[in-house]
Amino acid sequence: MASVPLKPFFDSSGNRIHLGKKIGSGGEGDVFEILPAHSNVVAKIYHKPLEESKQEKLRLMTRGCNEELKSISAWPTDVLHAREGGPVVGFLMPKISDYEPVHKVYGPTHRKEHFPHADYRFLVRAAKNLAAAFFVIHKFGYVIGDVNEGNILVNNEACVRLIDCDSFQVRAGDRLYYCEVGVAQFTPPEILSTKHFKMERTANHDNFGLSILSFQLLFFGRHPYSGVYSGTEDMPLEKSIAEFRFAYGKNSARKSIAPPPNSVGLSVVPAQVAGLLESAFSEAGARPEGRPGAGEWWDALESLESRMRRCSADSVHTYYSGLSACPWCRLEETSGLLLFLSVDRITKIDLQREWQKVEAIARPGPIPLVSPSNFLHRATPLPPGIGRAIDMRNFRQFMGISIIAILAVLVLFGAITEEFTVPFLTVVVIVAVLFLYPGAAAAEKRRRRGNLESARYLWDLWNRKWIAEAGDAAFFAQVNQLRELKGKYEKIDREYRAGLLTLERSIKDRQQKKFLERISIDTCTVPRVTGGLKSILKSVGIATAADVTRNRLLGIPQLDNTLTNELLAWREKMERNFLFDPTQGVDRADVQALIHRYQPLLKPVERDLVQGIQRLQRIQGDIVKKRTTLRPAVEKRARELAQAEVDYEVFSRTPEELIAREIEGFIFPRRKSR
Amino acid sequence: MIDDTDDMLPDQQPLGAVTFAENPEPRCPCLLLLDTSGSMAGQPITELNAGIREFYNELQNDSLAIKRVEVALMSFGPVRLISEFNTADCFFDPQLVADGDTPMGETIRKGIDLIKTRKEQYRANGISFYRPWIFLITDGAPTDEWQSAAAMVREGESAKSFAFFAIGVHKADMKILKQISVREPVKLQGLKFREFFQWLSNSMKSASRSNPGDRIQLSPPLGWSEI
Ligand SMILES: Nc1ncnc2c1ncn2[C@@H]1O[C@H](COP(=O)(O)OP(=O)(O)OP(=O)(O)O)[C@@H](O)[C@H]1O
Ligand SMILES: [Mg+2]
Repeated sequence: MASVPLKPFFDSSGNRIHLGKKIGSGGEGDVFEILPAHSNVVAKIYHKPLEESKQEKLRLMTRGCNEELKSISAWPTDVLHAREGGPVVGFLMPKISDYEPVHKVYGPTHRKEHFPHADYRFLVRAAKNLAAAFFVIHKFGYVIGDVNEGNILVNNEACVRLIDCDSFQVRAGDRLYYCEVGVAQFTPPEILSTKHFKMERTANHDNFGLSILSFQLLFFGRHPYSGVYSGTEDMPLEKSIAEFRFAYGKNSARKSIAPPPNSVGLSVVPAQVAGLLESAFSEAGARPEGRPGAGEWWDALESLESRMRRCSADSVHTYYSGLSACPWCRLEETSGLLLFLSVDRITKIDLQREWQKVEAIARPGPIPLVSPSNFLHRATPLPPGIGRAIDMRNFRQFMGISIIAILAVLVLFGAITEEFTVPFLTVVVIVAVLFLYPGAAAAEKRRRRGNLESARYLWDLWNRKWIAEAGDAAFFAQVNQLRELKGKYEKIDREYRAGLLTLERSIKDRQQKKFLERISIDTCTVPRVTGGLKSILKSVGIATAADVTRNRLLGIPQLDNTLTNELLAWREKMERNFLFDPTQGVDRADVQALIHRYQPLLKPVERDLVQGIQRLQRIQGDIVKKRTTLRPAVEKRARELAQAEVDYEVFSRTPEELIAREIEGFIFPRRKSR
Repeated sequence: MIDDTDDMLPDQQPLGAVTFAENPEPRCPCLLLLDTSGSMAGQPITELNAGIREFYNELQNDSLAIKRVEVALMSFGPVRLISEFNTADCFFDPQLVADGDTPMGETIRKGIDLIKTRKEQYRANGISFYRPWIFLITDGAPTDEWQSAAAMVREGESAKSFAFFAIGVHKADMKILKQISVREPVKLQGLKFREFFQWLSNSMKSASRSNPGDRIQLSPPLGWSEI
């Protein structure tokens, strides 16, 4: 609002045009409301001065304006100048309010938010109305050029309007005014490689965009060229379009592309519609006039509309009657998607019954104990030579220790003096040999120690696997998660029920509000409330008696105290006419609004619950299976470790080993505990 | 080997396929590798946090960007995955804390892996995607081996698997950044993180509705860089 130009602009007849609030902004210009009462006209003012050809194009467009064009688009109705006789700096066009860009209709997330009541019929109707709009533009010889998801608007009655018309391609005699912009996703393959759009565009190019948008509306926002590509390289959308890789077409396998998971195929629409899609997205479409035109699209969608059936399981599901079963029920079941907001109920599962399923799954019970200490083994007997070698070694070490002890005593008593140096050294060498001479047992010891280490390593590995896969931790973790989900589910359900209760309590207030909403401000007969004042009130959103409250009247400068009071008195008078009808009950629409609010919250929880219960079943089955399949392998490792331990036992009793173990235990306290 | 599996999280994003069906718009992935080493403590980290918050805000207010732009956050010092690739509606405030050293090499390697995994998910679910962007933001020099990461960046750039941008803050070692990034690294002016993220969200918004062509559509880094 900060940058509203204060100076008035001039239309082509020299009338002053005052701008109001800014309501939109784009790359080329800003869009403003017009003051005061022209509430159905807006102005676009460009950021930069326009080239002469662009000014001429706008003049031509305003001259070509007619009711038909105005009904489907924001067609320029008149040019605007900053000073009389100056260059064109903007234009006037019909105001389009309460419309949303088409991407909010075809994208399921946004559709459920902005068009909660929309069902499949709505989507078909929007596509049909889109075709009608294209038809009109083409009929008068224009080309849209920059077809995209933001320039096409849809309202909650599925009516379609085109904006950004100043970029359309205009032909006047032999002069052509280009549309110099485009968005890759809607640009046909044959012109996709152009670096700029200084070129003639044709209706066949537009029809590519029309077919893409129709596909997106009918197939829940999927792009026809986005699929699962089986090549190894990246497949950007543009490249896929350029190479005609229509993921749903009959040639898709040859194009190495398949429809994405959780999508529906061309079989959900009649063969006639499928045929149009095939021809629009294949090589044949790129030939001049090769694609289905707006008229053909309109006919095919009109025929689909007349052949729709309502699903018996969910009344919001409407689908092509040529199908044997409701495709949306199937997709919702297999994918966990919520395609449409139900009007009947917020959930499709029975929590009680689901929870019984959880309780019916048998607990796996504690993990069976497998441990090396369960196995008693006798040590493998030592080869005879080695037994003797060990005894020898023990004897040698005993001798060594004795000599050291004697020496120590001698040193202590000062018996060793200078002249004893040589014999002393000799003794040291003898001791060293006694200790260090490897002897025949060393190789066997190394072998057994190696065995022990690898047995320990393997046992460790398998024991961890055993605990992880045959233990019951995963099972209970999953049960806990399910319990949490159940709590969440119950909380949302409680809130929904509380909402219903409040609705019932406030029926009276709501009935009264509805009643007042039906009384237009136009019927107000207070003398000072003139036609002009009424349109000011309407421009700030005060259209019915329900809107007349002190708070909302306060901010309006044209109202003085008495006028405000007179308006409030008028409302009170109207209120007195209201008769409460207790038989009417809660309004269906209100209940639906409540369902629409809570269903999307509940759906993911519902989905997690159902999938979580299946997972719990799988986990339980896995554990039981693992307990039998893994057991022999784990036991084998336990047995091997027990064996390796007793085998090594003989060596672990030597004095040197005991000392080494002490030292090791001191340095690596953790290892000792194994 | 065993330790690796112990660290792994079970069942990451099991509902991916549903999310993609609810919102099949083409994705524009953006990975932020954020330096949270000790030297970032105080004002720098505060500004960085604020910048990220604003970044998400901007994306949330654009009805197309909110469906198309996916942001993942990794911080380094130590290397942490703060947020997987998600659209801006799933934002949670990272509240980064500065401590630790600057294991830039590891972050880059892990980040590139993360992008690879996400691309595989897109592919399996039939979701088109634009070339991912990686932004490395650092105020120091790597304290670990970074040459292998630099090689991965070069490889990814030449295969057009992603575009890698390095932003140096304050006393960042621009010489090493130059060796890591194929594109010229940019120096942040003072602590203009907010300006940087404002610029980034605008770039993401326009990239997510791009015109034909394989160009990277970045506007010049005005208002936040030292150029
Ligand atoms: N007739 C209209 N009535 C109401 N709002 C409008 C109208 N025309 C445009 N707007 C709003 O103004 C915004 C900008 O309009 P438009 O797309 O024509 O501008 P632009 O500068 O050409 O944009 P772009 O760079 O996307 O082409 C639109 O997104 C829409 O919200
Ligand atoms: Mg425009």
